[in-house]
Amino acid sequence: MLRKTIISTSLFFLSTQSLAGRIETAGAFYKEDSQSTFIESLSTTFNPKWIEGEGYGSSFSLGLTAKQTEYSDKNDPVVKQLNGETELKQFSGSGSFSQGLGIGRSVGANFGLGDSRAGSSKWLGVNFGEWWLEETFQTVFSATRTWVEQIPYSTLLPGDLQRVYLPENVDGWNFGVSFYQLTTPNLILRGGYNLITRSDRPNAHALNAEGRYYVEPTRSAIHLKGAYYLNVGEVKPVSLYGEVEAYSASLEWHQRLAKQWILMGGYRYYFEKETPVAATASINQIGSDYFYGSLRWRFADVGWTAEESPEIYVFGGFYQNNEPNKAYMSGIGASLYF
Amino acid sequence: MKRIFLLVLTTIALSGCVHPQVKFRKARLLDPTMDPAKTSGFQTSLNNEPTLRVEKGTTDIGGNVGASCPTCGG
Repeated sequence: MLRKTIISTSLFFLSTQSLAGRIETAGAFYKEDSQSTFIESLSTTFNPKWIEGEGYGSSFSLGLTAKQTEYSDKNDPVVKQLNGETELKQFSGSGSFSQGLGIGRSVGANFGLGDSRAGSSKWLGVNFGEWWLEETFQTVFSATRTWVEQIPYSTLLPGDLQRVYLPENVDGWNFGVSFYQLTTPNLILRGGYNLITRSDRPNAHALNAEGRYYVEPTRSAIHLKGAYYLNVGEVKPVSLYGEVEAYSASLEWHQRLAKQWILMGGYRYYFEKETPVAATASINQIGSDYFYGSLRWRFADVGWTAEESPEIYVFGGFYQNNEPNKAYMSGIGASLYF
Repeated sequence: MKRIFLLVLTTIALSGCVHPQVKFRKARLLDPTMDPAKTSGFQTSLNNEPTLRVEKGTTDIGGNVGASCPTCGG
């Protein structure tokens, strides 16, 4: 008994002494006209202390997500995939590893699996990051390969033409390059480009840019973001939609309140223009508004350079588009450090 | 038993070696509200949920377009 106690206490002590990390969990409920969804997520990141040293540290992370969706729209493609069943449970697990290669340089890998009755997916990616100019400018290159298997779904068109909407196997690549610049102490700029290939669609190009400005007198941070997405070319008769061009812009206000609270409010506008394929000509433009916000309580009033602070948070949002459709989202989460 | 004590002592000794991963970066961020690592995560990805069903420009194979998705790694 004494021996077991000593061994288990020692193992616990070893793990707390040799690992530093973070655990985060969150849950959210989301409801719109055609479906309602409950999502739970859990992730942990940990860094072994003993292999740190002049930028040669390692970092591991693991994540789990479960999602239950109830569809009220019987014409939803997922309901048709499930032969009329309206409930779908999805599970996914992911992991990543990052290895420092000296001060300001790192390589990483990530992988994951997703599974549900409608299909499964798996992905594997690598990335390389480098800081330049006394660590004020970072570039990251990434490549991710994804494989999807799903229950094929087809429908009969007028004239007895059968069109396959969802193919059984889809695969593709996501190549990305991004930058992150600490321009001045008050200003951060970020941006990126992604090339997305997939076997059932033309290649897509995505651009995004972001600016963050900190207003010291009011202890506020303003985040302005913009994104552009272009997916044009030959659309094969195995896709749900035609060529797509989309834009989005969002503005967020992050406000420190008292010593340990952070209030955030944001608005996002999205516009999508679709050149319909013959069978799916019902909607060819989508415009949406999304209002969202969060309130975080940090257990301690710590700045960026101090120790990390555990926190709990609540968040919510209201979404509407021109389908018309309205959606409500609310959730709660917490993160702890060890 | 000796091995366990030796392992504990070694771990304590090694965990005292705190070497920086970065030299300058931390000092350049003024507040948690500016830090991408502290303003994203589950809250961001779950917030994205209402946009997923109809907005093709928001998601694509391999994850959220132009963002990091903790669920799918894209």
